[in-house]
Amino acid sequence: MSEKLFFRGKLEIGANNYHIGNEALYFSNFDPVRTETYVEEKYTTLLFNLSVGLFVKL
Amino acid sequence: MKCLNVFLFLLFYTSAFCLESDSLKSKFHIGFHGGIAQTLSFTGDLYMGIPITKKAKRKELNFGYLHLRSQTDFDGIDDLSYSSHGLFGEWNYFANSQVFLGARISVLGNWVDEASQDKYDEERTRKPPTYFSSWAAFGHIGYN
Repeated sequence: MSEKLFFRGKLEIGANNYHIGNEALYFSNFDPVRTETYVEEKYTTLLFNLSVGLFVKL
Repeated sequence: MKCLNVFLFLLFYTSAFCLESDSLKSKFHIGFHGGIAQTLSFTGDLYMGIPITKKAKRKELNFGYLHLRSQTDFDGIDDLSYSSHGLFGEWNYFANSQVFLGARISVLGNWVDEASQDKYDEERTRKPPTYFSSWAAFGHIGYN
C-alpha cells in the first residue's frame, strides 16, 4: 500500500431537517383541481450511516 | 449501474494520484466514502480537506459533496423514499493518532422517488411531493 493512501471507517448519526409539501403551485403543470389544497409538513429525520473511505494525500 | 460507474471512476482517479512520488509533503487530501444508511441504501461522500496540526493535536477541515437515500412520512403516507444530494463542511478532531470525532453541517436537495410519488398518487387527490430542500447536522466517530 502506498504511503499516500489511507483508509478510514466512520459511524455517523445525523438529523435531516426539512419542510415537505405537495408539488409547488407555481409549476407549469398547474392543476387547479389537484392543487386546491396544499399540505406542508415539517420533519426531522434521524440518519445513521456506516461507511468506509479511501483517501489520498496530495 | 450509475453508482458503480462513478465508483470505478473514482477508484481510477485516486489510484492515479498514488503514482505520484512526493507523498510526505502532502498538505491536502481527497477521497471518498461509501457505506450503508439505516435504510440499507448506499450513502457516499466526496472529500477534500486539509490536516491542521497545532500543539501536537491533529485536526481536519473538510468539505465536499454527499449523497444519501432515506425515507419520510408525508400527509399520512408512510415511507416515501427520496434521494439527497448536497454539500457539506466538516471538522474532525483526533483523540489519538487513529480515532477521531467530528461534526458536519450540510445543505441538501432531496428528490422524491417516482415510485413513491405513484404510491402517494394512489392514496391522495393532491399532487405528490417531488422535491424539497433541507439542512442536516451530523456527528461521527471514526477510525483512521
